[in-house]
Amino acid sequence: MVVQAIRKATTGQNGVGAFILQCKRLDFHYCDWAGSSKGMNTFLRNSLSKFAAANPAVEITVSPRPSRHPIIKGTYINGREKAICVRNLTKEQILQKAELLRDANGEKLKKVTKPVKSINESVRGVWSPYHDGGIHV
Amino acid sequence: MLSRTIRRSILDTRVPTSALPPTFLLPNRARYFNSTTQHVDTPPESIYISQLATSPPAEAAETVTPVRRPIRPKVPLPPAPISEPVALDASVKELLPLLAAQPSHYISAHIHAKPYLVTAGDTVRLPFHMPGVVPGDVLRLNRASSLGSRDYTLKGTPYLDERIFECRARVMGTEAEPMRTKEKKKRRNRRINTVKSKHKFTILRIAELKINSLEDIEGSGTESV
Amino acid sequence: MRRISRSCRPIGHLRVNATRNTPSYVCATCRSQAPSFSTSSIRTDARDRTLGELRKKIWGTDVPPGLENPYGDKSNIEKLVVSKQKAKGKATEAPMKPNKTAATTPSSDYEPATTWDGLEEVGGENRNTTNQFRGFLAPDIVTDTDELTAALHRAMVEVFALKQAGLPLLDVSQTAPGFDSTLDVQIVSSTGGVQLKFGENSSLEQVIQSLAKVVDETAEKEDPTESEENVAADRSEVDPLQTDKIATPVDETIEKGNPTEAEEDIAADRSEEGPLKHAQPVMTYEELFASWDPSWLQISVDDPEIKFAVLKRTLQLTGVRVPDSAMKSARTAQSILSHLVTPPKPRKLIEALEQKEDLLSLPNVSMSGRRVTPIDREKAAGRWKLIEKELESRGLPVTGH
Repeated sequence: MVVQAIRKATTGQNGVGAFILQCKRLDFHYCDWAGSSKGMNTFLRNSLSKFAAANPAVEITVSPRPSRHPIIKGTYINGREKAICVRNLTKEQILQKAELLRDANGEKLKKVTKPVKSINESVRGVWSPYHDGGIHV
Repeated sequence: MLSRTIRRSILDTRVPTSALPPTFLLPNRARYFNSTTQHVDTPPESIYISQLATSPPAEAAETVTPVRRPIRPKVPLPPAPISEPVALDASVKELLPLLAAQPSHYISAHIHAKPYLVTAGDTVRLPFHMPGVVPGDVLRLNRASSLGSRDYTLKGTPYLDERIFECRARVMGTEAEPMRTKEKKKRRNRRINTVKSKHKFTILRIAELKINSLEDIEGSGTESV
Repeated sequence: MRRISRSCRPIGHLRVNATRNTPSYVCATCRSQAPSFSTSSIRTDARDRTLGELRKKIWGTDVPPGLENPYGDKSNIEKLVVSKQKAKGKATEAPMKPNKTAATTPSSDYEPATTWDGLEEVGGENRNTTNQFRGFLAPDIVTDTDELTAALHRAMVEVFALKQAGLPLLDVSQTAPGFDSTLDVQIVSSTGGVQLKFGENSSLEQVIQSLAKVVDETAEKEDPTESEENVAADRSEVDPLQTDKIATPVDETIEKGNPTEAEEDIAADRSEEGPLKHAQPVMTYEELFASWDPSWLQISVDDPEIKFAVLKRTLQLTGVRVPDSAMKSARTAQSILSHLVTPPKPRKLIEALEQKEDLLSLPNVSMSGRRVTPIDREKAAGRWKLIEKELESRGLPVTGH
């Protein structure tokens, strides 16, 4: 007897029922000594708690990365990572970068020309000359 | 001004609880701590009157709505309920149940006066970065020019009444395009100016498309009258 | 190439002589460490002989006029002055008296040592054991809030006790902190001013006495060495107000006193058990603070003299410096205390973050004090033990970070 897979009735589409944020983790790396980390250190001191409280779905880790520039690294559900170097940026700019990583979906950037993407079948079907009442000659 | 009106009116937080995941999955709270501030003006009443033929929105109801936190940026409130009864044509009354009975539907929803022909589950990449929204927000698209199924199409003049259907879209996030560089060169001059641009786009997913039944449409009109 | 010895030239002798007898102030350390020392190889007697021959040749007689050594010795006038001073009996030359170790002339029973046993040690760690510097501040900076509060209370009581007794306020920091007799003294601000209420174990005299006691004991014990006198003089210069009012007995003793031994004892006592243990060993800080009238923190220190005395005494007791800006704005004991107990700024970011309650309470935030390495990630996933075992079983080194 041949084992047959059960056909899936529907495909999972994030956001149609439940919504899961694509960004699952944000790593904040800083350096205690370097001046390029100044803004990052200020951000971690002052704004991180609010940012973390506002985004409970994102795991946030803070760890030093000595003698390197500060970075924010986002890890996504699709397995990809995005890292942004935030050297010499101010607290507000770093917050913007963190929001950018949170809002991203982890995919590579692509040029999109058509605004609507669909996996559904066409609602009205393919046009057929035999079913459209015909042409009266 | 028109675009602002639509932008304001499509932002809808009244979602049936059955359609929503548990609250911890919703990063809605992120809106209260966002670096992008919202610049949304309250639309003048005349637009409502002229386009939707409704009574002026109840301003009192808006002011009564409690603001949870003083630091919270201004979030547009859901549009005021429409109190005028829907004037449905006899043919519409006859054919709308047939349209609703068919299995799948499409809608030509307008956002900032641009039409998007979508079905439930589709992804829409808006050609702009919508300010003040965070992933997980639900917008109600209330402006549509046509609504249809396999065999029937309801066309608006120019728009459908927003009580006929319920179309909701979920904000999925923000995407960017690859960096574009454009070299600007003038003749007989060796200087080349390189212009870089990288735009951001808001991604929506059509979470729900529902056609209301005739009783609901007419009931909602008569109820409030 | 033949070398000409430069020191053979007559001018060489002259130069050496001219430089040798420069007015010789030698500091105590140098004197104790090294005998007088010269790079020149010429012996004194040989040089004198050469000079004498030169002078004889110049004058053409066996008895030349003038000084024996016209280049080095003091002039006749200077010699006259010195002899006059000697006649007066002033021991001005005492500091210039050569030390024992600096003696260069060997005695007749001199016997060169073959081993170093029994020889006097010069330099090293125990150089100057008799003359150790003792700072004004407490040796260890107090960080404990309770101790700081107790110290401030003590300073307040002592300053106001001195004020009540009519003594100069800066007497308060004249003595090294010893036994605390202010524990059951209540300090209350009333409408007329600040009042001290003494318990059964204390009195105004006792408090005043405690500020002078240490010095009285030590005054008779030892003669101060010269450098200690200097130190004491330096210290008294710190308070110009004090030098004007030498009348009190406290001041005299402080000038003479040798603070080393007594201070050592006190410092040892303090470091072992703290000032409170002396009086009531069973009393905790909470009980102590509860026994005080809470209004003592509201006492005004607007008077700059009082404020300065309190701050100085607190500095001496605790070693905590109050910044100048805070000093100026402080009006009550409470405001001084708030600056005293301010914790030091954390030097590392992680220390600052760990103090933040709102960050620690968030379930989705985790922090690490050091770099998160690949091994850390493996450990978090629970794979590292397996990897280690596999590496060992294959005889591979377990490296990485």
